[in-house]
Amino acid sequence: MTLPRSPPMRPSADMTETVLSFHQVTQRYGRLTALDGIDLAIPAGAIYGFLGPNGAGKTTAIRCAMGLLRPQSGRIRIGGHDLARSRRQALASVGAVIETPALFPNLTGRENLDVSRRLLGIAPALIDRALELVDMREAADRRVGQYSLGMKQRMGLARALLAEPKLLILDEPTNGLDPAGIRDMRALIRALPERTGATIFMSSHLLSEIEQLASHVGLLQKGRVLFDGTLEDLSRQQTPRLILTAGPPEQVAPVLHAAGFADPIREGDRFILTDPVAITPERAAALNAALHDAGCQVSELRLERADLETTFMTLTGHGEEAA
Amino acid sequence: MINVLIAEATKLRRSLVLLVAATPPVMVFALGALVVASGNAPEDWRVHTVAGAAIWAFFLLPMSVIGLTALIAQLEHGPNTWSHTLALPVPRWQVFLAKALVSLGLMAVVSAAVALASWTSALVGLQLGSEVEMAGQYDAMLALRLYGWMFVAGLLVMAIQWTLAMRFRSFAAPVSVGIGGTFVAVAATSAEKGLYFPWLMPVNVLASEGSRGDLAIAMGGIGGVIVFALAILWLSRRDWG
Repeated sequence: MTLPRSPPMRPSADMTETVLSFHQVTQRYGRLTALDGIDLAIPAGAIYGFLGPNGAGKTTAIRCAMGLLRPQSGRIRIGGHDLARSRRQALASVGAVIETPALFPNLTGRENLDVSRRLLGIAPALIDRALELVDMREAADRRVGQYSLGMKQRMGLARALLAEPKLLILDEPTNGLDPAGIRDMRALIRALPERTGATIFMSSHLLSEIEQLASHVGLLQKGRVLFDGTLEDLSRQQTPRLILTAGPPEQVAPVLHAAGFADPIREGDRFILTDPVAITPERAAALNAALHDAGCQVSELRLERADLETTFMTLTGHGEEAA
Repeated sequence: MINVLIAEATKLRRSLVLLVAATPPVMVFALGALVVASGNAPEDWRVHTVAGAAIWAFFLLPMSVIGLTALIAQLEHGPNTWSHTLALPVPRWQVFLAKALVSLGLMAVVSAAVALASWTSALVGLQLGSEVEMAGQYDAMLALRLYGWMFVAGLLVMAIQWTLAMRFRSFAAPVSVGIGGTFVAVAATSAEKGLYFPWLMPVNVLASEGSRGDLAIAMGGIGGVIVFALAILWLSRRDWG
């Protein structure tokens, strides 16, 4: 199925510096094209939510950004460095938690951080700072094999924060956590840009999570970027709709037709009105007056903007599972 | 590079790798002590030393290589830490070189421990057994020479097993190749072409013809260094998707 491709939207004016960018990046696995010339720009200071259905190419994009896969074409730049030409300089400003929090279960949390610290060649004092950031100092000397998943996620995050990165890449950071763990992790992520100054690029299969956390969003489907911009820009892309509860329905329908709402969705005496042209507050007020003049009883009339899920479903063209 | 090496060595802490590394010397010690104490002691120290080295070269060395390289690789494969390790701003060749050096270092320690266990097993066996004697004296230089050259001749097998273990997430590939190689080696011990079979190179150090041993040491040593170098280069450059 060919999907409509929206032009990528640029970040807002106060976030002009781009920390991570993809330029026409293509990655193929044999005949399968996982990324089809994607363009993305992640502005400094943003929490960037990366959304897409299963198999859309999110993890492939993240693996490309971490230098684990080399794209067949295109360029990835991190902090001004070309990843293909200056891998070490580019990755020096990145911390990442990819998929599950991959830690050595035979080592303690502190030893895990020490292994990374030695590989990174940074000062031992940074271990305590990272543990402090994720509130894991007390559990740091226990073996990771004894940790809960939530603790592993936190320790993974501590390891990613170890070298004080400018860009933090999180792949499904709340995956598998219980509700309390999800809440704690979200609070932690939300606080990170202010506490560390890091830009966050996170993928998630939870649309509501992205809606709660992200300032910017990228939508990916079948290896193509459907949208790249702020949540506000995305919301503006979605035509608002009118929710009307009025009766009797036999009298309401002709009024709606006359007002230009030719194909309303009806659920009992509740009508959902969409219009490809425009639904404005003025038009809603005029409809209210017309219903009143026709003797209809209006108990609800409100303008509703689509939530991220609806927008996502609309952009992807169908009700495919979002993950 | 020192930091990378320490980091790789740290990963071994409290791991199964260390337990498996302790197994060969314990086995050699227990077997040697029992044999000597039961009155079946070799006639002299030289035979005892060579017999211990033969058990090591034929069976325990290749099995130790299989187990240790696979377990060292599983430290990364198991919790899926490759993505983290290889996404760090560290030259990948340094990571793989450090892993190779840690594997080789551990094999060297196990070799030395087996040599020591062979000697001490006889000492303990002689104490435990009544009227048990062995002629001559323990020749430490002979043991050092045998185990040292076996280590060098075994480098090619170590390189092959290490490469397979690093490359494949599953145990199956390195373990099946290793066990297959060991059994073929047992069957082909006296075969003329067996000289060129990597799993027989450590065994050929014991060959009565000096040239056969020298060739095994040269091929095993040089071949091992070449395979290690190529493997490090290849693993550093490949995609880790």
